[in-house]
Amino acid sequence: MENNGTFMQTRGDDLTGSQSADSYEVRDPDVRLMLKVRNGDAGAFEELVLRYQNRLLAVLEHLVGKRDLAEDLAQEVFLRVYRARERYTPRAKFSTWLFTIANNVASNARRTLARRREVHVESSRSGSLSADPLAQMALAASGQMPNRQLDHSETRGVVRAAVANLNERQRMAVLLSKFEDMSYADIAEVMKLSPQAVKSLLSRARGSLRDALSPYIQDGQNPGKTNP
Amino acid sequence: MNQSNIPPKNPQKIDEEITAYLDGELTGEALGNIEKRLATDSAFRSRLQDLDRGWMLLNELPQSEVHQNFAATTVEMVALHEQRPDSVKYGGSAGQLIQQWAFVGFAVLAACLVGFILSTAIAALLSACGLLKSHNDAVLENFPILQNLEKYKLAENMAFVQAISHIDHFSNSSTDASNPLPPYLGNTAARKAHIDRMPPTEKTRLLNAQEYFMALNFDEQSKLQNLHQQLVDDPNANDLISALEQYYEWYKLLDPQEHVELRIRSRDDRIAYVKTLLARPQAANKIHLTRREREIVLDWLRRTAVRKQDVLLRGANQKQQKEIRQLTKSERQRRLTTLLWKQWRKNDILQEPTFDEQRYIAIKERLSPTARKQLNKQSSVEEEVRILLNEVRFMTMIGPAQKGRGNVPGPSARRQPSREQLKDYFKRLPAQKRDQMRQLLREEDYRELLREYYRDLQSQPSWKPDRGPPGEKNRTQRDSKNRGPINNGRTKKQ
Repeated sequence: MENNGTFMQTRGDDLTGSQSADSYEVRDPDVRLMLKVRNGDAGAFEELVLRYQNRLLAVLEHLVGKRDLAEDLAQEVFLRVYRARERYTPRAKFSTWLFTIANNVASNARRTLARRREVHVESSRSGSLSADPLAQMALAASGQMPNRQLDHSETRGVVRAAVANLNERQRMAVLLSKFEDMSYADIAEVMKLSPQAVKSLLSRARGSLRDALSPYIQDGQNPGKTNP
Repeated sequence: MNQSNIPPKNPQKIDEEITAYLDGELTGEALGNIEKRLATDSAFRSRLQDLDRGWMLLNELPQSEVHQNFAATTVEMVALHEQRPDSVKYGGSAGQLIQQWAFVGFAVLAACLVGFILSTAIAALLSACGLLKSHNDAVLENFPILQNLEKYKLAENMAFVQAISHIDHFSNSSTDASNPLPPYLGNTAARKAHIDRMPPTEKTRLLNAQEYFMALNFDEQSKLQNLHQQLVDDPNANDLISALEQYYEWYKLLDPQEHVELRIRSRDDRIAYVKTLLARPQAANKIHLTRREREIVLDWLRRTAVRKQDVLLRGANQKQQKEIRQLTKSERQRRLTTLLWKQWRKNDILQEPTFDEQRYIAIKERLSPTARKQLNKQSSVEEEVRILLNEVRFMTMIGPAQKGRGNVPGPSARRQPSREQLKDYFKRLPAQKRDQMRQLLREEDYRELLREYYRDLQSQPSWKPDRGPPGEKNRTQRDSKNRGPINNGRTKKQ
């Protein structure tokens, strides 16, 4: 109860259930744009695609691990948005609604991939990292040469691997929080979780990232900051 | 890291609180507690830094960007999907689809191979017996349908054609008498003569239409043939055909989404939607020029500019005159055209010594009936010319050589203003507008400012292609390479 109570004071609180469709329409220009799509405004849909294409691709690419597939899935998301236009009612920010669809589409894709045993995305792994590529990279890059500076592309590869190492739900929560700057309440809505569960999820994700990336954080120096 | 000060009981809860703090999710008492502890507990601080460092490294991840045509292909894909409501639903996995289609493709390939061998043998046999109709015979036979394939596909049936013929917009008597209906009522010899006179591109188009038609199933072919037969047999054939042609020309003016909307509706719904679209106020000023028509207009401007270059240059300052005279012929032509475009946009066109109304009327005659009809709706010749100028506004600057950039660019072709430009623009906004922006969600304010910037840029009647950011009146002058609508700082004071 204490935690719930704490959480309900968060910045996402004002965006939960109590808001009316009108308030989203007033505050979120993309909701207004989507309402135009619903009312048959031709350019509005393309405008939405243009606004969200890169953001959506970034999330999907990290979720499914393949660029081509991510682009296909992004198109699928936009197709679903268009098909849903007639029954669209603004009950959340547009981005929340869009990423909810993206989450569903990505989940379906991952399930299909898993069934076909084409495991593009590693599933969640806890415990030892020694068997995975990330751990091997960690050893090669820093364990044996503790003082070397990582170059930019190497850091990027390591971080990408660390993100891929998170489980699916953690990864989605991290992407929405970090790159979409979503509140816990919004992430909860996208992922159909409680805000408290999002809080735990992100906390564990931060812990996993710290564990995975600690070999690269040498003496408090963040390679990301030395080479922005 | 010394964690001795962190209560061993429930370290996970501590991490959660730190995470919520780092994510800016805490307020009030919870926030106060965390900050108090951070001030006094070094282990707690260290833990926070530890958790944050890994997080900060996420900034290293590359920014994904879709390919240039992503938006266009997405809209097109959506349009295609919406046209095929019974199409195979996407299974959520491209890989799975590929495998399925690969299997189908393989089967089709095998069937084609067998079919090809059999059909070659049968064709040889029939040909030897004089029973097989040649490809050319088939084209001649289907010629009236092939010539109107797109229109017939759009109409689908006679009831729809009759319904649109009752809509004023398509039923008026503005059919151009100088543009007689295609000769599909003629006999085979007339058709053959007509085809012989066609330019190669038209012949290719005809053959493509024939291929499309032959690929349709029997029912679809019959439907189009019946529609054609009913149309030509109708006592009001000319009116109906004229209405269909006008509908087709109007349809081409619509956006892809509107095409989708029309295609997915039932006949009655579609008619209602057509009326809704026609009732829109902006439809009256919308004009669709084909690439060829744009070239015609541009060519007119270019020739006028070259012919009247002395007059044009008299209006320019000495420096400009000198610059233009030193340019190569093609570059000079382009600059003069731009100069002419600007002068016409800026001044009363009819009073311009460079404007010749008779020549304009001759140019207008070369445009399609639909384009002429749209122009005729304008209140004056000046308005007509302004619309045409607007249609070729980017072509006047980039010239015909740069294909693919001639059309008015959509949002994807806009050049992004820099943050500094936006900041300046924000300062120039009225106080009320600025307050509204400040009230937006944190992640929205930048995007809304950008939208406002573009809206402002395009909505001003005095908008010129070479001007700087909106609000900077006559402040900037673009060099010859800087062709986008927004000036990215490469400016000089006039």
